[in-house]
Amino acid sequence: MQALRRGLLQRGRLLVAEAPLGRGYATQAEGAAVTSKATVEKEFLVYRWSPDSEEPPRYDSYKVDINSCGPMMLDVLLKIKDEQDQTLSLRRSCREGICGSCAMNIDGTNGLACLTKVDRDASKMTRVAPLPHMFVVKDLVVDMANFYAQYKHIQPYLQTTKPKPDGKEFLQTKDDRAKLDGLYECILCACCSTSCPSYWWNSDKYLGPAVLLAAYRWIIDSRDDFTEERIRQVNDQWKLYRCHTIGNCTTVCPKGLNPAKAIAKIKQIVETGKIV
Amino acid sequence: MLSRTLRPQSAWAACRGYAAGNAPDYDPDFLGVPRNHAELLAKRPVSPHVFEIDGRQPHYKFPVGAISSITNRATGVALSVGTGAAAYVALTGDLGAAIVAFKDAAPLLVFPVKAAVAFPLVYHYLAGLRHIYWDHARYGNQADKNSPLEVPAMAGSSKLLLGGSVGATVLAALYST
Repeated sequence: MQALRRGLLQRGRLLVAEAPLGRGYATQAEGAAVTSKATVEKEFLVYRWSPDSEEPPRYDSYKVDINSCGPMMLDVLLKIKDEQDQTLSLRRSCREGICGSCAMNIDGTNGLACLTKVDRDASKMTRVAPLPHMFVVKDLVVDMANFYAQYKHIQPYLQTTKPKPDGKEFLQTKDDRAKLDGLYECILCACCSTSCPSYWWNSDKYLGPAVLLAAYRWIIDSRDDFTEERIRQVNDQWKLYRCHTIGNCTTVCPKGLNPAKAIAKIKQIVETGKIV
Repeated sequence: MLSRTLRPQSAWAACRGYAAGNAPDYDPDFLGVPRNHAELLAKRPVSPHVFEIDGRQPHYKFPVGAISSITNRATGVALSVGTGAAAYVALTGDLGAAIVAFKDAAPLLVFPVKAAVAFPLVYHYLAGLRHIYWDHARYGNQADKNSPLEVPAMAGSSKLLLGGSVGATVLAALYST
């Protein structure tokens, strides 16, 4: 009975007089039912692979009524997992574009599922795949070990030789702080690095846009005293100079950051010897 | 402490990448990587990148900036191969006579071949100029949206580069003394 009430409520045909908790819905008491939305079925092709079966990777097709679903791709995937196929594996957490867990490839472009709107054209199929050129753990979950190891490698923490001037904090001017805008917001989702063809071919040796953005973040932090060592560590034919300014990284960043520009600035620092 | 063992690298060591003690490591205790990681990786497939899992359909939707970048690489290879071939003909025979003979034998192919020779020259040169510009541009802060490496600027410059090169190639191929 409860399920029926819930179902009717969803379709907006439950008369207002029977609204739960008897709250005052006087203005709608004329019984004008909320018009229900038509069912719009859209097909989604989702990459599947299981380590437990010997089958090769494949795309499974799911039809979802996008009018009874949230507007973002994450809503669709969770609806599929909820109603159609519980075995679908994906990473997700905050559902608001700040944790970076749900990074994946949607219709050929990397992005966060929780921030990517569902294409309302029901005649087109939408393809959902894991981040490109990464080892697949299961379905949409990829192995991030190499990415994290590279991030750890650039020592992404403040390193100083001097003690704090007043014993309390390292002071920084507003201009110096403004240099960190567009760098500290990185959520390490790996959308950029996995969109870079250079990182695809050399992910073992090229650090990738995300890690180089982080390296630059520490290079131009005025409070850090190990700038020269950081530059020397990154100045390498493989770690830095596999970047050919292809630009996919900046195009896909869900936070609107610009790794291509940061890498260009690292190269300028290396070439000129001056911090720019 | 950033490793004090980082010696100034020789050019050879810099090219090899990851000199001893200089590489990212999968730290099982810190990163939580399982100890049998290598075995697990051997069984895992690589997610689709350029092509789909069937190896034929394209998978990644490359933006126009990426198209301009790969065209730069392709024209670079074409220039190397073409210059080598032309040099071979010039050194072992007569390049001028070979061209005249080709023009007599296949007059209808003259325009396409001229275009095919002109396009790599024009495109690679202009793309190279763009690269030099990117290398030397004055970039402001990361948050400033008016640099040549922002998304609209890159897309616009890529379209201009590709379209302009095609136009210049057509003009070059039409030109004849």
